[in-house]
Amino acid sequence: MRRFPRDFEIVVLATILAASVLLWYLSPEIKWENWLELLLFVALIGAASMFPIPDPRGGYITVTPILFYVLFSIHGPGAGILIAGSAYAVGGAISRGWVPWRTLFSGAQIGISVGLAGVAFRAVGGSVISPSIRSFLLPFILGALVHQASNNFFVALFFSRLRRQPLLATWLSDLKDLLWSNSLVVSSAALFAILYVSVHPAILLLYLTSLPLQKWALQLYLQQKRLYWQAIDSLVVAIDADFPEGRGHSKQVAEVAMGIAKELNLPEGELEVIEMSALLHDVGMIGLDDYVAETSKLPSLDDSRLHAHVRLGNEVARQLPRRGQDIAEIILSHHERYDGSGYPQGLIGVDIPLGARIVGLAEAYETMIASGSVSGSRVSPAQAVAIIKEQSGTVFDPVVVRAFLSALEEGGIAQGSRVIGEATT
Amino acid sequence: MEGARSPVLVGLSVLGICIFGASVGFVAATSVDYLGMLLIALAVLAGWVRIELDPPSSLDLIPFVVFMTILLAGPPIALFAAVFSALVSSRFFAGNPWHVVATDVGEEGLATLAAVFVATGTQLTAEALPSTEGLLAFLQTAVVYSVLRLTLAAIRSNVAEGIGILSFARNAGKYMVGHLALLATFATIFALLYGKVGYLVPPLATIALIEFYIPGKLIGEQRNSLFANLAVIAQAIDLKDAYTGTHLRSVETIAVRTARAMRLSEADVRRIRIGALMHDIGKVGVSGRIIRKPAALDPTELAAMRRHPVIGAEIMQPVELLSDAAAIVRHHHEHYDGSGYPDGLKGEERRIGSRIIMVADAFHAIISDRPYRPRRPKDEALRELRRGAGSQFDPKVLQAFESVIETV
Repeated sequence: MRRFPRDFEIVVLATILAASVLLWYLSPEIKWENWLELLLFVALIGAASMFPIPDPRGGYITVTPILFYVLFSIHGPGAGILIAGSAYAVGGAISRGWVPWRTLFSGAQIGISVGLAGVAFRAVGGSVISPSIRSFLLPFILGALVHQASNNFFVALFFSRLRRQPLLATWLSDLKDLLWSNSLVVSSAALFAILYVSVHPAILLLYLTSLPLQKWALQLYLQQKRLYWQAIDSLVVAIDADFPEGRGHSKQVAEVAMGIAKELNLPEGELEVIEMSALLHDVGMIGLDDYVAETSKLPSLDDSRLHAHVRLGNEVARQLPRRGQDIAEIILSHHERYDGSGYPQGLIGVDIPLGARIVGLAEAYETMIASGSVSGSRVSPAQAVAIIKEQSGTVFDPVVVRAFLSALEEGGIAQGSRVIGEATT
Repeated sequence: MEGARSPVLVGLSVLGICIFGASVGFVAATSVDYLGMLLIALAVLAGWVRIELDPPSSLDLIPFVVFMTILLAGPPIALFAAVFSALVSSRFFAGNPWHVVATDVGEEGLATLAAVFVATGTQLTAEALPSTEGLLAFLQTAVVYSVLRLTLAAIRSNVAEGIGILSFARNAGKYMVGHLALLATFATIFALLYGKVGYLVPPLATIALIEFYIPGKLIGEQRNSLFANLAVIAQAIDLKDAYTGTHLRSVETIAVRTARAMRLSEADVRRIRIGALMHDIGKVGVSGRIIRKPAALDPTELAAMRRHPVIGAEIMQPVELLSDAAAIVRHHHEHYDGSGYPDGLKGEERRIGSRIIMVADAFHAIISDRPYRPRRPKDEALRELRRGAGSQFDPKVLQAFESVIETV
């Protein structure tokens, strides 16, 4: 049994205690004559919490929120805390094993969140009977928000105490992400609440049977996505074999760029754009294979063939569907310099697209430490870092440099030198 | 690429514009209540979920809202909702050029117009629904819509991409039928519920349906993304090869058309598509000096050049998505009489894909400017290919190729 920080243990106990108090306070409200429907919810929530479906943006999600929202809006806060809390705890115990404190904690946390949501819903006069925007939808949205915020609060509390990080920051950063994904869920949940009341409670079973289909579709999507990136990767590796920098250069640049971008907390869509731009940044070089590539320090500015490769890359990348324009711009500008002395346009500072500033640094770093780079002198990673620090503010954006340095420190970017012809990992 | 000058497509576009104009007129003449406006807005929202199928055609959720609108707000508003949302979806969500937008509007408009006629004729309304006559009337409406939609989509595919009607029915067609049936069913259910519960039902139902369909949308986008990425890489190779313009993309189009003319399965067509885009990727391993030399190659240079199909296949083989097409790439310089390279395969020994790509590649190379000679006109190119029938080129492939050459 691991030793936990003292205040972490206090938090766990306090939560369980709070849940019990809230339950005791709300239990008179529970309409026990609806025990069959309540049992239905127990079964559904338990099942759903054991059955996560893949999230297109990464990771897994469970579909329990829809059930929670239907539960609190129809059966009230008392039923909410009791049924949601216990079903979730039981589901968790079955799928992840019975660990007393953790099971009780997760049940308590969910119970409180759903209970509070129900209280909020009732407090503003929410009711599923003859629903209108004011009498149903707005209270429902409020309830859902309360549930989300409260749930996130507990998660943030849990992790901040465990990892000794500030609470507020953790809570707020997670909340932003979940707000969007939850908005779709709220509409479906509202619809099901209405269907439950005006058609039949068994409608929920129908919803549950659609889940395997959804899961299959999402898994198919993720699998395809993986395959596609793999294909592009391999082609890029092959193309790299054409250049003096050698095998795997573009891929390495992409990894470094991604490390920096993640450090800057860029959203998922931007990460993909940067990754693709990094992979394809030298695509314009293919036609210039007789050209001797950049020196190990900085690109020499007066070489028009070097200029040509960014323009070519830009032309070619422009045709990509989503975000083709953005990718093309990054490729065009990845040799710009922060002080305006770069090419092809001599952009200054933040006029240079952020992605280009990132990819530019990543490429400079990679080129420096790749042994066998044509100018001869190979640079050690430490020296490369020093050079980059030196050029922060002139060649590179200081913000990007800072992110690069912390990514290096925290292992977001693998250190170590490359040897020509060798793919890393 | 849409053959925008085809008379069928032009006709459909013109029809689309007319129907759009007429529907605006109808709506201006009748008064639109809040429900009508809500439904029109939902139709536009429904047009955001476009699922691109392979072979090219698209599904969206507009029919769901249109069916509901016919039941709840009447024919003129339904027609307007259909064409307006089709316009917004095609132009603003899919970014199509205006002539394609007009055709999309024509397709949706014509199908909805027919449905609306049937609905008016059978006096279909939401109140009539629970009865058997009502259900029958709705069924007729939905069937008419679906049949027209499917037919128009099949015709468009045939004209624009050379896809056989049967092939379309087997591939995209079956998805369309299932999809439309599902939407019609849901529309009935939610229209009935509207009567019972009120105006919250249509928007919540539309949003819930959108959420349900998002994985399909993502999958379609992902697939298009792949081919676009491959095309970008292909274009980079084109640059090395000193082709100004989009040689490999054109080869892809020609090869795909020819393959469809030969009635190959869509799975084969997809393989050929990848093969066509990637067939010269092996040239990354050959020095640009050799590739772009403006004169004849000496024996060593020739040997180096001839390695490119092998290099290409080697690059593609380990990649799961591309390995299928690797053999096609390896053999795209074999000759029909066995005198080609690298393996000296004869006749039908090599894949149909290779034989097709060879023809497409040779043809387009002849009509393009090259470092060692300028371009030549189409008919000259055709004559030269014919001269190679039986020796370099497969006569059957040539035949199929000639049948599609006009559309290229």
